[in-house]
Amino acid sequence: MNMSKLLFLTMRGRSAIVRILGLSLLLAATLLFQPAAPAKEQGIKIGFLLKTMQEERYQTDKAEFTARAEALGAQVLFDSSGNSELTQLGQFEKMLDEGAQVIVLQPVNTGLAGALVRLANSKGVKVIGYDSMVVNGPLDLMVMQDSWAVGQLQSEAMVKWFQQNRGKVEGKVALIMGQPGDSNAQAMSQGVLNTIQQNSGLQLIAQISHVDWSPDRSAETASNLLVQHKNGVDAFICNNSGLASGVIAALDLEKLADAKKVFVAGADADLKNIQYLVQGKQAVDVWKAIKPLAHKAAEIAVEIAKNPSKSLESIAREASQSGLRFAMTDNGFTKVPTVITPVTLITKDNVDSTLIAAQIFSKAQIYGGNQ
Amino acid sequence: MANTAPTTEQPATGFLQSEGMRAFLKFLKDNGTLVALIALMFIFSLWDEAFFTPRNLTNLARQTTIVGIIAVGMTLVIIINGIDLSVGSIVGLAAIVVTLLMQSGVNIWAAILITLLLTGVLIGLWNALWIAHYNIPPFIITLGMMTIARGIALTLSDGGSVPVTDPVFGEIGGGFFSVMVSTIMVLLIFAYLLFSQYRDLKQKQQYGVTVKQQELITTGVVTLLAGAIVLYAFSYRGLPYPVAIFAVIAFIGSFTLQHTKFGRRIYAMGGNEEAARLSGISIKRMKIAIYCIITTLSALAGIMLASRLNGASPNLGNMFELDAISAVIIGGTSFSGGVGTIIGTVIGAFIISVLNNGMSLLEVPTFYQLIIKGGIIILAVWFDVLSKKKRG
Repeated sequence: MNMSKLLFLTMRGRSAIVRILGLSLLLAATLLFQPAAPAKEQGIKIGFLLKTMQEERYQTDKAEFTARAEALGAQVLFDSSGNSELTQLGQFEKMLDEGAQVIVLQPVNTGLAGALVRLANSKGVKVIGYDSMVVNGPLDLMVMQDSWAVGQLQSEAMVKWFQQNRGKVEGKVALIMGQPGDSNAQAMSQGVLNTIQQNSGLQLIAQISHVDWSPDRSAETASNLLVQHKNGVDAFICNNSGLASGVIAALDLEKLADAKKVFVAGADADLKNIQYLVQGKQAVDVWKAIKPLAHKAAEIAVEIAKNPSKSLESIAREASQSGLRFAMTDNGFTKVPTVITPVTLITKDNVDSTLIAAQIFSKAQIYGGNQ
Repeated sequence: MANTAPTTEQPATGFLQSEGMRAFLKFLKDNGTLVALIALMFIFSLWDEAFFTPRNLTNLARQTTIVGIIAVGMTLVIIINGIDLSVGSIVGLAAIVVTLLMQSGVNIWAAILITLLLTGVLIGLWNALWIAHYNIPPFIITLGMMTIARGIALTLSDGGSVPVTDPVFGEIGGGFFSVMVSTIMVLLIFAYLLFSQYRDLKQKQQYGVTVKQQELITTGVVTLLAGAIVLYAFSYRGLPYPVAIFAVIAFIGSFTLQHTKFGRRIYAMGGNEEAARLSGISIKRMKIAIYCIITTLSALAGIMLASRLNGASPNLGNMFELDAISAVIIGGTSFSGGVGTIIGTVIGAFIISVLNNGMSLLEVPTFYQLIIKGGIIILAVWFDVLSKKKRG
């Protein structure tokens, strides 16, 4: 059903001219790049398809995945879809045509991507979900970060903060959520909501989605909440760092951007937020290390390509042995063997031993010129 | 405070009988958007006690400025029958460029100037080159620039956010004039407005033009009411810098449009471009100027947004073009060109942010907010079409 709908959309959406243009560009590109590409005809081919490159982190995803897969002797076909389902469908079909044996897919549309998996499976190609879970559709295996744990870490840190700064776990909490409908935003928020439910003193005063994860919209939301509650908001938990920096901007105006007065949690560990941590403006952030995620996905993809008859569940179980979590995730259609990579809570006390030690940022970047 | 809006107008209708009533209805019809704004503010004040507080009104004014500044430029563009879809992306690009320049050690004022020139004037010239010289529809060119500017912003920043450490830069979008200074400034401005209304009246009497007493009373009352609300709002912490910048830009825009040759030419072009060309107006030069003005204002908006957030990310300003266009259309500027005022646009921009702010205070879910906003834009355009039918 979904597949035919997608196909129908492509047929309608692309005019003949665009197709011819696209084809000729493709032709030009292959002519240009063919001589340079190393001849690995008999080797393993793995597709790696990201939903977008519009965030800092995806540069790392691409580089680390490719490096690991190539080190294991595979050739990587990479593409990114600019957040468009239609583009992704075309790229996915192209990867199948080019002979990818396994495709690692971060779906643009988590609800429709099951159709892509079905298409691949019909040609005997396995699909590994990456970062965002395909929902209500088939999927062979999933590699993802612990989004649920992000919310849990944030809210546990908040409970600890209440104990240390207020003496009791009582106060008003605002949940600043990302893109409406995003499966990661929902998982992160669920982790927070669970903790709030367990602490009867905590009052959830707002639970608001922000289109485009936009920091200026989260700044407005925070300003309005501060007005409404006469500055009496104790904690803001945000689904990502950009949203958190919007909240900090709003708090700054009221001279409340102080981790001792108001608790703010972000997730993604953007440079700006890490600076806020060491300046004492923001309480905590969560670092979702990309390297283990990308490496694990590459390793599993190569493993599947080498042993096409091995059970996927046992591959996933073996891959989760060193410090990772294994789960059979119910995505509403089937139970997917899932490999979950850990996330790390960052406070101003462990910045040096985590982000700086892993060379994500330099000391000078974080502490600036005055240290 | 909000109660003063209807009660001040009530005695006028009772006391002046049917003629007063007619004048009042005419005022409603001529100033539909203003009445809508007052009504909205009144409704939200009743609904939520936090709404009509000096602090929230200050927030509201600050939340209006960024889109408001772009909308001033958009008014000129739409009056000449054009459109600029690239403004939102330029906001993002300018924010990235100014923060990157400062990060690499450029002095903040130099960084701001370079950003205005590069992402404002230069992109404006590029847009205008295609629109004015090659006669390509502005919709297409600026649609292209929308993607190009966003792409450059993403490339320059590598998709990530750029922090700002300079404390002076944060003041542009976050600072305030003290309450004393703001009060004096606001009093002076409104005294000037009342004086100029009085001067107009004298002039009209000199030339023997009959002046309707009711119209005078209503404009006077509206000016006093606006002044009172502004004084009340800024009693919180004073006049925010960005609001002052917005006010200056809106004033210059309004003055230019109403009282200069340049402004007259803009209306002439919008009314009938061919006739304007035949009467000796250089259409090309006018278009270059107008498309540069809007991109430069967008770049300024981007700089102010980066200052407010103390940093930039490349997705800033997404969909601002739609908010700016909505403000212009709600403010009574006609999509078919030739008609429109900056005051209308400013009121339109305030209507949008009153809606955003009020619905957010009332905790209306995001999804409903989108539906309500869209509905109001459609209503505004419908009103525009209706009033044109009556005229024609």
